[in-house]
Amino acid sequence: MVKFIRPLIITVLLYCAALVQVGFLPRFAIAGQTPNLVFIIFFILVFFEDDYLFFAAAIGGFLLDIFFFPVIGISIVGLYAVWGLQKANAHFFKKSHESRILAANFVLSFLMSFIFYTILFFVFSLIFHFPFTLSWTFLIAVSYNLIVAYIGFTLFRQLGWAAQEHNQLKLF
Amino acid sequence: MQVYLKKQNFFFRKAVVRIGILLIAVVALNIFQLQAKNIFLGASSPLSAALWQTSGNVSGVFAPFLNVKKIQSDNVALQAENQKLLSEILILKDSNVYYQEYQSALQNARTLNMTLKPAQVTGLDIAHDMATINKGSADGISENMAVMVGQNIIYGKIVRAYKDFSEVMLVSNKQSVIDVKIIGTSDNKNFIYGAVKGLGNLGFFLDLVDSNSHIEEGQALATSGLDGTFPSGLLVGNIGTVDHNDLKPFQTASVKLLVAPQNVENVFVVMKK
Repeated sequence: MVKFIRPLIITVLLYCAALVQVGFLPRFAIAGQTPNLVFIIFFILVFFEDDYLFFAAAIGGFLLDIFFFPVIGISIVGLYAVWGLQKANAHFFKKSHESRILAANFVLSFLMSFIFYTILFFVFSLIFHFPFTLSWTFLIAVSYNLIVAYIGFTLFRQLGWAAQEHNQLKLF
Repeated sequence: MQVYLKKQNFFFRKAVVRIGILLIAVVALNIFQLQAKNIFLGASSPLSAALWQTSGNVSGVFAPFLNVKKIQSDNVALQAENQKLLSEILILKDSNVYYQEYQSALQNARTLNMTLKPAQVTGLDIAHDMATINKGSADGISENMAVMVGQNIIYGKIVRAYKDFSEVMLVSNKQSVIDVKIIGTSDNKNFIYGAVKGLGNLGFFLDLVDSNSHIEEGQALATSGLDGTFPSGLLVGNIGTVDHNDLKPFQTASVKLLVAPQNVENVFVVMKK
């Protein structure tokens, strides 16, 4: 039973994020940019978690594709690519548990992943012929997403979901 | 050593099985995309519609605080526009042709003799300039139908119709091109024609206007009906800054929105006759 609780919570969390992204955030757009909540939550999971990431990428990608894209599968590939990138990042840069270093690591990793994800979608837009705008507003998108992601990161840690015994960062 | 190899083999097989299942699911979902999206959007519709209305109320509360500078600049612009309009009224009174053209276009937009299907916006994707509405093929909606908001202002066109939902490509979508005519051209009796093209991120511009034609800021744009998708006379926007370059065969201009897509809750689908 306990085995299913985490995937269930991840699914509900991503679904709510997708709904907020499509139904609530467009009115709070800055220069036409809104935060990609599903991506942010997935990234926080990738940053802190080791388990259920295959499942989270599939669900998160599916939700993004259903709500925002004409082809199902591209966001799933995008999120797997971000997961791979973060794995490589974690391999080369040892994760510190010192608060400031962890925050700096998060910010840098998020920036890298978000830029990588956006470039990937720019390439996908050329292959699958869907509109994708890459202009100066991308800087606003990066800043807006980073602020929301950092709030999520802080909340995640404050709520005590992240810190657990054996210096292992776990969700629950 | 043998145990290690067995364990590695087990994880490899597990990963292969997972990826295989995912691939089959993705292919199946793409084949049955219309049904899958319809079911999913249908299940999410009550929640997303409620969120859309709530966000309208919340943004309405915060808007004055967030947009103080914009309100101030809008106020200055409105005062200037008011003065400009007053002077234009005088010009209009003097120019009978100009007046008739403008009136007939407005009249045309109001009495287009179209069958309209009201619908509600359930979601907006600003990044791709797409919106979702709660009416679909079951309500007689099909692809390429025009979508407008009240006062005959164009909103976009249907690009995909599911059973109970439809996706609307906004005018600002990068793939959107609409043939338009410019209303209020005082230099001759004929309309000046051009095309409004989407820029993405809720922006669009006027293009393909003959460089010999005289266009100026503030003139209204309406659909010409030449593309066959949009009926003639729907209002698109007002001309902003004109870019007239003698080296280019066509002149371009920025276009000011008549209604912000973020504030639209109800739309009308123009049904084919």
